[in-house]
Amino acid sequence: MQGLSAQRQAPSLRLQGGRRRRQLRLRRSVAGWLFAAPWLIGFLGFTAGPMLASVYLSFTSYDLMQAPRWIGLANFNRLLDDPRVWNSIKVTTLFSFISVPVNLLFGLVLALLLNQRIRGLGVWRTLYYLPAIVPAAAMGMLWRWLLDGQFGFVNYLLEDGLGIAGPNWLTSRDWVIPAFIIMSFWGVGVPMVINLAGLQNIPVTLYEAAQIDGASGWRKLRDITLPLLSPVILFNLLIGIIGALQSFTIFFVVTGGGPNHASETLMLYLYDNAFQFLRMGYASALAWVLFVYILIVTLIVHRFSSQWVYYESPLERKDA
Amino acid sequence: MSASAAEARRANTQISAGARTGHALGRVATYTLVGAVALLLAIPFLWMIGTSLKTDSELVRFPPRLWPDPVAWSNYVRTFTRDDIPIHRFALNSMIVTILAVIGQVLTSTMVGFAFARLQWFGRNVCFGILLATMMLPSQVTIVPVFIMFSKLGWTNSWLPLIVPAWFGSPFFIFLVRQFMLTLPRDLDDAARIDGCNTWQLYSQVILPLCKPVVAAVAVFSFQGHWNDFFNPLIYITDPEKQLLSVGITYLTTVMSIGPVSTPWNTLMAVSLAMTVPMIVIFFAAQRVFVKGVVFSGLKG
Repeated sequence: MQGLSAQRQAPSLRLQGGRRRRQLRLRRSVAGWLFAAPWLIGFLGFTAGPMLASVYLSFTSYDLMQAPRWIGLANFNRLLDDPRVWNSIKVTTLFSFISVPVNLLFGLVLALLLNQRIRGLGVWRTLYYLPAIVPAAAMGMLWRWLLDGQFGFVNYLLEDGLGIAGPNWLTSRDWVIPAFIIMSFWGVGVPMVINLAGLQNIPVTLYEAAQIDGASGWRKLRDITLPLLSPVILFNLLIGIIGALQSFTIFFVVTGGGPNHASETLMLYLYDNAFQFLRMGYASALAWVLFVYILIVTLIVHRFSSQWVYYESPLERKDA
Repeated sequence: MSASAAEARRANTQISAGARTGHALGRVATYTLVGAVALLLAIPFLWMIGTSLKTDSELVRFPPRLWPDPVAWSNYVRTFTRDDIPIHRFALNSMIVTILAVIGQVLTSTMVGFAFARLQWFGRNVCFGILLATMMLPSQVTIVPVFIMFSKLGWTNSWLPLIVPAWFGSPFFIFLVRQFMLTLPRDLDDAARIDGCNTWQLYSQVILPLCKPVVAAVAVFSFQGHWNDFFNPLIYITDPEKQLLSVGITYLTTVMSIGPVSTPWNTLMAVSLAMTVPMIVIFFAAQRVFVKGVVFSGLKG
């Protein structure tokens, strides 16, 4: 891109001689920096600087009142012996590794169904996407009420329709994680809409060629649709897993991590440490644990993606 | 779906009568499944709307009804006029903070996106690499130091920590704008330069007016982000008068209502619905841009 535009500008500039051109280039460079300045300052002030500070803080004990005190690896040692850390890793992992694949699968099946010549596509798409735009705090309140053990509508439907006595979803240690997985299914519209957009991008000619060759519906799905959609599926998987591992609001609003820490995610425990106990150093160490965890999961997904993700041209492989 | 695909399908169904009935059965199954899941997803909404219109005594009625019998429209009046928890105040606060943040996001992301897409400057490629790297960066490692920084500045318990960062742009929005601006013809810039435009005029009078779809997308996404934001008001705002709706709604669960249930679910659902309505309005207004333009330009790297 850069090369192309430089070429285009060249003829008008060449006439004016080297010095003039250098001056103009310098002026343009200054303009570029000025336009990019807000982001650059923001990057330094809100991302790079704080990240370095976070590394430093994770080796200190700091309560906002007294100056940070260097304690070496003590935070990380303590972290290894902290049962709430291991518990929150377990909760976060369990929730993410079930809810994300389930939503991915349903998001795919629903998108395939809606991608047929179906009446009222716009209406269906809107209906499916609607839950995803409900603010997390409002959604949390709604589900607290829906899953209420005594007067909740979910247990009423289970009792009335299936004759099952529903559990006390949000106060039972065994049912609280399944409850959050059910809640996450309400957001299935997000992967669905992205898949649908990807499906509509697949050239129709491929299906026509397959049709002429007498391919069955299953063959077309397996050998055309899924390979061509696989980059979109990877995208959904990555944003799904990164989001799920950082879950906070819905857990905070619905259970606050209870009962007895059974739904305490890493972010909730980090919040408690930083803003309830004012252990800024320990919270920073926890943040790095979560960061590294997300990084490892992302790298693993990315590493194995080459085995199932298909890119049409080598050119696209480079940017994805 | 194009006409040729439709023809291909039609040709397919004409092959045999057996295939045709199979096809019809498939369609029935499709509609049933699509409809059933849609109903499943719609029930929580209906329950939210129904509950918001229930009287206190109907909250504990068994069996519960989706649609209440005396429809208590007065719940909404009661909800938005209460003195102990000023919901109307929270809503106004949320609106002000969100709009100020969205203006910042739109202005900054279009300016920086313009710099990356249309200007030549030393270090641009390195900066773009940094931008890409920070796009997927989980934010939790910066939460604590940024909080410390804002509290040292004395900005806690004010709206500044909620608004100011937005004025420094977000990598994802900058990336979206850049991708869109790259699709505009280069000749525009040359023509504008020959006509004597300076860089600012090129941005504000030539490029920006052509970027309405992506500006709409950034505005919608960032409105959603700031309106829904829970974590930042939670950690920064302590004074109830300054609180935003997302955190303010949780205050309702901590007070006992006078009714028979300890939690005023009808009020809570009324607020939840009121919180959702602006999102629905905005999404419907921008739906076309949203589904068609953004998803593609966002994915194609």
